[in-house]
Amino acid sequence: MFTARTPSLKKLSFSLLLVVCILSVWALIIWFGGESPFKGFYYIIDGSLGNHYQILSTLNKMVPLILAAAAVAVPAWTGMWNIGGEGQLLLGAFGAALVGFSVDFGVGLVNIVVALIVSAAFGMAWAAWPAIFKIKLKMDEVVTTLMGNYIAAQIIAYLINKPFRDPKSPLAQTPYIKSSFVIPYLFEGTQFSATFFVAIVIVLALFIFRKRFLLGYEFEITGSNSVFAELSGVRVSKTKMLSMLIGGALAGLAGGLLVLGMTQRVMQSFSPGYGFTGLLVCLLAFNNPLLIVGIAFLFSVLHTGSVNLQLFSSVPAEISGVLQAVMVLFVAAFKTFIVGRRDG
Amino acid sequence: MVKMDLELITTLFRTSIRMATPILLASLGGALTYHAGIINVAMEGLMLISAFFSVVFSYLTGSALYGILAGMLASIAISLLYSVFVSFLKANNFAIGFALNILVSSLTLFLMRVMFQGKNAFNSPDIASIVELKLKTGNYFLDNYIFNFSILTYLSILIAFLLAYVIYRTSFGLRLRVCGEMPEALKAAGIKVGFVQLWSSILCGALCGLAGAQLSLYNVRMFSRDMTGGRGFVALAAILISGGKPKRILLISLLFGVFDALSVKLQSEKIAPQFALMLPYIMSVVVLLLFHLKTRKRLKNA
Repeated sequence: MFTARTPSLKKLSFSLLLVVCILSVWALIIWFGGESPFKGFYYIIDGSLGNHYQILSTLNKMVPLILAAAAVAVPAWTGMWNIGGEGQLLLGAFGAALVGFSVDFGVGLVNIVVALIVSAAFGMAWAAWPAIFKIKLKMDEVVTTLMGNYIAAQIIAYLINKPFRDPKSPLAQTPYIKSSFVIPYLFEGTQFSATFFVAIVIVLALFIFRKRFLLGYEFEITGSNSVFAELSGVRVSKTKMLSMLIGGALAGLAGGLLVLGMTQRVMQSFSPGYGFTGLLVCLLAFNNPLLIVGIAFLFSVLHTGSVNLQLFSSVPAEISGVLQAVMVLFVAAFKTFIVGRRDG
Repeated sequence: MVKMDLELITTLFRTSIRMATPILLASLGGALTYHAGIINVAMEGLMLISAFFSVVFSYLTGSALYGILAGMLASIAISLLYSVFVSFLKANNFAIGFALNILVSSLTLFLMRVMFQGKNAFNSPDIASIVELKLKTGNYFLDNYIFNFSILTYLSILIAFLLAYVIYRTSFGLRLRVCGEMPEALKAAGIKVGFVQLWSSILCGALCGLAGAQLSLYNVRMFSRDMTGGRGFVALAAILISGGKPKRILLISLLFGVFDALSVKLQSEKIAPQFALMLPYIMSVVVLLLFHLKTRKRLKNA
């Protein structure tokens, strides 16, 4: 914390070494997958940023990542671990779909806002019980939020199989939401929609909340020193609870935006692990909202690029997960040398 | 009627033991790092990487033993990485643990796609299974309740008692516990905290390796994506409840094994299979909750 912020030569060279390390291990992995690294990198970049369709779809993929990462970051400010983003996202998605296919308020905007509020509430509810257990009973929230993911996945599987299954479909999925709930695509040929701007606005709001509001400061000191916070009059348990609820709401909202802006229903394997990728994004961004946007962009490039890589080579698209996780480990290893140890 | 009930109980018992073994092995491993002061959240990944390499090497060599060894080595390698990050680079153990879990999850999927051409699961009749302690005595009880389990089951029970001795009766165990409770004292005695933690991580990696092998070479004899399904965290719950005491871990793992077995059994019943599938996760939360309610009461009474 107290190390000088000026970029010294040592820090600069470590940062450079970090980039070289990550790139060379990435190259090695691509080579192992059966493609020459240079071609591999080309396919990844070309497939994600090659033309404006691909850029828009890369930006679109950022939406769930940004929100899922923020869902980890906000509780982390107060020292809480929210590993349950995946389950909260699923429930949020179901909440939005439930509103979308069962009610109608007549006005499109009202519909969308109500559906999103419900999705956030569903996510929040799923974050509430681990938070209560943690605060009242000191029950480890890492275990409970993680178990929550598996439980939520089965609850959703049941709901879309039995009570809310689309009767017209051979697959286990909910009916489509009504057209007045759909957040329309903005451009022909891509799924890019206003959901992207919603995510950006939320991140900016979180940034301002953290830096400019008293409550944001209370979050911060609760996380860095809860005893000091308690002594200075912050109600620590209330702050922790609130941070967890906000986290759950953000994850739920991610699910809601996915339903309204893209899938228009909830089906089996709705989320390919957004919650966990969001966790990686948050770890790389050191809980900083603005950095989350940058890292989410990078992850999204890797993700859409890897799909393109699979098209043109023998490398499976699952490589993106490996590349992302490797990056997290290298950054964690180099962190001490570049930014200095924050908690010593 | 009576005969059928007995059969049912026998099946449930045998499934419980089969399912409890990986949880027991992993939580014993995690108990070692727990005493050394690391809450190990990487067990999920350790088991998964071992499950993968056990299957691969068992398939390639035709020998379950080589499979187990390969799985253990892979698990130890990841565990060493975890330990280096946590003990020497002082990175946050939760952050690194989850990064490693996600790395293993995508790495095994990636390797499976590269090596076995794009499938979500890999099974083959050439995968050699872990042998059982085959003994037919003719006595129904002995044959079904004592003998004929995976050899790793017997080994795991042995290890539980061995660790109960090692942790509380040997100098290594003493160092381990001091390392977790009073690292300053260890430093004062001239012993490096990091190295004690490193050793505990190596042993933890070996045990989680066995756990993963039991999962993929005995319980199901295949590898499928994320097949550990949160068992690493069930094991973590077992450690937290037991306070890292091996004999208690033995009992709690058995309890979690029973829930797993009930889940398997209930899937063939009339209720929706999703409820059967969520049972083990709900029960591990419930057991953890009961434990915390009890300790809170004790604290209040004191």
